[in-house]
Amino acid sequence: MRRRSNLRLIPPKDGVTVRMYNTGFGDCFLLAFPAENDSARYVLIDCGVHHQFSGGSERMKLITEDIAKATGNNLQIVAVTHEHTDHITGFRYGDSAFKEIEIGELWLAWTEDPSNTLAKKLRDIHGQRIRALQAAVARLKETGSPLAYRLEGVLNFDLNSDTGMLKGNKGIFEFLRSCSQKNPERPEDYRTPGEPPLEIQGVKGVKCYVLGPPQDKVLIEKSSDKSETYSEFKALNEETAFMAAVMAASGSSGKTDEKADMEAEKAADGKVADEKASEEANKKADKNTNEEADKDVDEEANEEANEEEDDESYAELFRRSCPFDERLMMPKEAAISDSVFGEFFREHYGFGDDKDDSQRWRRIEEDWLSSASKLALNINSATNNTSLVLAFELTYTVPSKVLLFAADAQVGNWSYWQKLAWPKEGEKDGRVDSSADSKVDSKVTGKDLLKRTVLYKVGHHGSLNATLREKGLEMMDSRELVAMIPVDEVWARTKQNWDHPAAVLLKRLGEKSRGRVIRSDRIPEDGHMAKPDGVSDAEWNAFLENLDWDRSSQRLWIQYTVR
Amino acid sequence: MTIGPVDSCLEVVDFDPASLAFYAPVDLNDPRLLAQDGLSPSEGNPQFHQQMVYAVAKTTIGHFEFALGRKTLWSAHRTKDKGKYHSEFVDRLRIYPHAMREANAYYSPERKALLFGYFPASATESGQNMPGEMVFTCLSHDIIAHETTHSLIDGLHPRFIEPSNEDVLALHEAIADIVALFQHFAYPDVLKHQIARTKGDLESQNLLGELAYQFGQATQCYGALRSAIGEIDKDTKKWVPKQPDPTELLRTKEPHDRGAILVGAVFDAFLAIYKARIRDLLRIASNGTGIFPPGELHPDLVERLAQEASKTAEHVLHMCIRALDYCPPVDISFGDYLRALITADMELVTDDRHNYRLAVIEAFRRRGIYPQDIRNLSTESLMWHVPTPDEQEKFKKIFKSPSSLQSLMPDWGMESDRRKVFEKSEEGRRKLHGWFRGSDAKDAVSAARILLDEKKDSHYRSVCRDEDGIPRLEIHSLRPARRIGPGGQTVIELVVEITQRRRGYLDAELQEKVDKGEIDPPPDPDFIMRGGCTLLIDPGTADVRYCVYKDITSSNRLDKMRKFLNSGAGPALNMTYFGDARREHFKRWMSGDSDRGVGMEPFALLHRNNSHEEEI
Repeated sequence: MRRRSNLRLIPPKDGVTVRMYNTGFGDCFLLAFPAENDSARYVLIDCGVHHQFSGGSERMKLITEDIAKATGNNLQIVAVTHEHTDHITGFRYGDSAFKEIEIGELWLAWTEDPSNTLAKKLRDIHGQRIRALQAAVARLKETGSPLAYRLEGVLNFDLNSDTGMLKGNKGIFEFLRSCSQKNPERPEDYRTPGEPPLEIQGVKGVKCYVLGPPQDKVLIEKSSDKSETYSEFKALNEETAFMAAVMAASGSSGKTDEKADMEAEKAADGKVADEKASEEANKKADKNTNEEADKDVDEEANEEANEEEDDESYAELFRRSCPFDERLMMPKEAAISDSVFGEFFREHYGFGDDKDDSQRWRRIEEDWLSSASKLALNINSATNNTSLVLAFELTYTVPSKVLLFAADAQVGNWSYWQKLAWPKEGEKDGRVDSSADSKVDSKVTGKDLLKRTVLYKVGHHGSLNATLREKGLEMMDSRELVAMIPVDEVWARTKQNWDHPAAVLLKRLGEKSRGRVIRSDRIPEDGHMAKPDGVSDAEWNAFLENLDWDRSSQRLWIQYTVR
Repeated sequence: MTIGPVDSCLEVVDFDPASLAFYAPVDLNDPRLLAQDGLSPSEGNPQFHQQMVYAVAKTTIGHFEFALGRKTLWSAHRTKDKGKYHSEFVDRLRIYPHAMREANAYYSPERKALLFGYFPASATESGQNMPGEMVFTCLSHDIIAHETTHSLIDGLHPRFIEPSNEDVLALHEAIADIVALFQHFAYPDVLKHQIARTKGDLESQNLLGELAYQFGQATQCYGALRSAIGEIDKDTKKWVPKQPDPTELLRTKEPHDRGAILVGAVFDAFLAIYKARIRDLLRIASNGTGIFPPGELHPDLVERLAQEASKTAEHVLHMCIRALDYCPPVDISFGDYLRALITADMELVTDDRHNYRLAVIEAFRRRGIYPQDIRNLSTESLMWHVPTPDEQEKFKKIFKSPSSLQSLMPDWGMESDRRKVFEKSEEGRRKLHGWFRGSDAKDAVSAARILLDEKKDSHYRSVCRDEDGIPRLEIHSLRPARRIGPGGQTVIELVVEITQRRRGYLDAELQEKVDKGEIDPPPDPDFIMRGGCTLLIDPGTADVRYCVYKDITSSNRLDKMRKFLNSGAGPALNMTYFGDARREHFKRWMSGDSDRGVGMEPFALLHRNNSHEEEI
């Protein structure tokens, strides 16, 4: 059953086909479910390539064209798991293809919901951290430190894009909404773990459970069992003290003499923004009511007010974060020219910018910025933990099989699934089914879903901290287990120095899945996939029966059908 | 000493780049300060901080100089200019008491400086601190001693920051913790309170262990200090010593955790020695019964016990430092360190009256630390290899006469000028290099497992060679070591370290091809494997008394190193993203880029990693 990539993707009547695109380094999964009259319904989970991956945008264009053809320009559901570039850039790079695609529903994590208070709080902290990190990266770049590039890679936001990080993503959501049939900005787009299982319109026997992100600030911060959690931004702690210093050093804390200029600039910006906003509002007038447009303007104004407020609180925070009384602090100029201590500082620290300055190699102007790696890891983990995690249950199989899409979830997100439970259908309405078996198995739990997983989209490109052991992989008991890893190991190791995929995890995945580990960077070149040792021919052939991949030179995708 | 403080080997420069501020240096010669014995403790006064880091660092240096019997040198500043390496003398270790805003402190081998961080205590983990209250790592005795020790070890063994096996960095951490702990214990006053508290229960090991635990607890950063010896039981809330598990070492990979096992072993040895030393005191104080009446101990007894404990701590501390002179120059393992400990102690104290060595061997054995290649764990078999008569003959050819050897010796006592010692030692190294490359030495060097073959059909073409195809060698170190002669007199021995290097490839097949000379010129290596030896020579007779070698041709060691570097980036989150520090090390070393740039500090990463451990 070989299909060419330019044809529609039609799953068999008794199966679900999961197509993993090889975007380079990033996630893009197309799920095809059988529907009435031999037709199919499609779910797209993420569409991205890491912004530092060279040639990524060209490749994403090819991929999105393939998506358009495979689905006949019709996506029932587009799920965007989180805002890292390696999950979303495809929507931008492939916008010409997406413009032609009808989108039924958008599924986004509740953390994207503007009306959710906790989500807003998380976004605020997030924005402040990002700004501080941006400032640190800018300073590190000036010194030529290799750390700057690394930090940008870890951060995984396109800091250089014109739109700026957060607005850029918002733009992507707005763009997707404009492709969607329904009105934009609908509260029902936002998915919350534990909510009643979702259904895909026109598809029978499939339920989708939302497992993450956890509605718990502490868990979102949790990248690993032992890492710390951080409190409010305005509270003074290790992280905020560092952030305040970075902002002060980059001069954005609003020193008194610059303040007037800055305010003038802001005012000018504000005008432009107002004009832009009203233009956009006019454009949207056919779709939106004027009220909603006003709301947009308000929002932008709010954001600016927030930034200004941030600057002030940063300045205040910086004052509080200095370890000694202001009178004891000597600025550089004062230290150089001090009548008593100037000589000491000139001799033992040295200030010359000359390369041959014998003191230069011992100076520490920038060394403290390396603490930014801690900050970057915290931001990264927090973002990964906001991943929308979906489990599709095929209820027509016994026991029902589960396809688990873990996005980039880390420890905090994973551990939350253990506690989740859904009442059996009917119970939620208070109508308890009286048949015997419903009493034995009266609810579906997060643990059940893990146990019955037959297809596991490996978390976070196979990094060690994104697949839990005892509360994760070891629970997946199915003899049919197949693992799919979207990764480019060579790029990750040579360009970024990342341990993706981690050898230990890869080994265990191989053992648990009896060799059925499908990798986007290992799409077979020569028409066959070698059988691992210790697996019978019959078992391996059965696996190959359900496996297919793009035979064109592009090797755009590899897919597996769960029956 | 001048303001800073600055003296002949230390300089405190108080620049706080994150706060954009310099702080005025303290003048310890100020008559007002002299009169009151320095500034009194004050967290809000940066000058007190300067005085504190200076005083503790100075004490640590003092312990090293006492134990080694000579002035310590900092590792040289290495630069690469037009393809050639230069070593520059570094007169002073720089100390920055407020270098960053992070719960971290580290020694920077690149800047020859100690960088201490500060941070506001967080609301959730403030412990004894008030939330938001500033915590200064430069005010912690243990952190200062720990970091200073890193710099002192680096001065002695610059290759010990090279991650060639899983023990090397762990040993760096462990010794830094051992020095911090026992330097702290060497103050009797610290111990008195704890000893008095235990009343009659002196046999219990817990009292000193608990104290060590408390030190570790206070300094947050040091996992090894905290977990090595014991932990607070979750249910009873009481401190319980950790039961040694000989298999733990096999399972433990992370440098701090491995280091903790070594610290635990040394601490066990300390307790055994202490208990043996106070046995008579306890008998006297309890009228021979060994049983004490309930109630307070007699203050005189507390005083004497504290003295014994601090004396024992000091002995163990100096024993551990002295062992550093008896280590191989590269690729050290815990087992090697045990052998160095035993050999060094044997040299200094032939008569083991208090059974120190037995206590050490027993404690190491219980933690599963022993060398792979010896028959049993007796003192005799743990001693380093004594050259056979045949080997001795060969060494004679190289070192010629006692008088020529003596001419190499730098005058390197406690009173010497550091720069002169450095220069003299450089000169000696050049001379010695000539001897090793002389015609007499050609066959003789085999005694030191040095490879000098010039044959084209050599099996070791990956060994780095000069233009003539002869393997390069480096006289890595030349220094005096002190021991006590049979008559009680101090005898100075000469320590000579020789190293060679070899191109290492992660691909074993490629390695073999390069070794057979099938690929010429060889491709850029993935790592550098080093070999060489440490020779302990009696300058009076020109006899080599011990030879410690790491064979450059060892395929076993090469395989192990490859396996180690291939074993993945380890569990830390930092490594998942910021790369495998082990391989990074070799990349940077080979690029010869001395200005590694911000963010590449080996000890900063090592310390930071500790706080990000993963589940799988």
